[in-house]
Amino acid sequence: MKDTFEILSSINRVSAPDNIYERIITKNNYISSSIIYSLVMTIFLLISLNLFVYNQSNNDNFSANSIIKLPITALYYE
Amino acid sequence: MDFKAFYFKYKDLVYNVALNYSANIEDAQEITQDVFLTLLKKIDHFRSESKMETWIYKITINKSLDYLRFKKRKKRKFLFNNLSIERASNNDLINFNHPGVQLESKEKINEIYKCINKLPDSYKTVIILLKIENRTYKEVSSIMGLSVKAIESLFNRAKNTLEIFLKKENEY
Repeated sequence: MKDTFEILSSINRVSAPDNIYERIITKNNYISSSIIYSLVMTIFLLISLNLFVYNQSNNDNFSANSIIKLPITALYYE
Repeated sequence: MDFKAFYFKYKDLVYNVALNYSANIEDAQEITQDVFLTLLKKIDHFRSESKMETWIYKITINKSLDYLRFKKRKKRKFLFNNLSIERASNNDLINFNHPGVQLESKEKINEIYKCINKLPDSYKTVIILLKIENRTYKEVSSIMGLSVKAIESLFNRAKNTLEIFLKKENEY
């Protein structure tokens, strides 16, 4: 066993390669694809909801837009 | 805290410990990367009750052992799907790529590493820290969170088990 440990203690220390630092910084700044996907879906849903609400308000007869379009004479009270 | 300065101060320590566990350049680079990403997140929570070096050793050892376990699971799945045992054992030799090992000792050290890899984690750690990293018993006791007596006892058990594995390996 003494020989075994002598052989193991002959293993030299080496210097870490230089590229690891860049890889660490890149990985730390990386935004995961799932976050990007969630953001895109949220924006898509918000736009769709806004369009839907806008279309609904145009189709509705009792909406504020419809009242504005009524002839002025209809609004006079005697 | 300046992370770049911190990295350049401790990169060799982390890389060499990772190499001594994995005995493979690519794996050691992966482990080093993971260790520093963890350190980047946790550095502000570091309590100066223990030395910085001891803390870094602990994280590096845990990451190295986790990585080795992950590789073993991956290898088991691969074997199950594809290969024979003979080709799998040849993969051990192919994967051994420790740049700190001199060419004339490579085969012998690979044989020793095959046996070290079969040891339980605590035995593996105590042998690597005492005999490859050349730490003192006191330093190893701080790193592993055990008393010096416990480390001495652990080392004796690890040494005996390694001896048995080496004898079996030489018989084949």
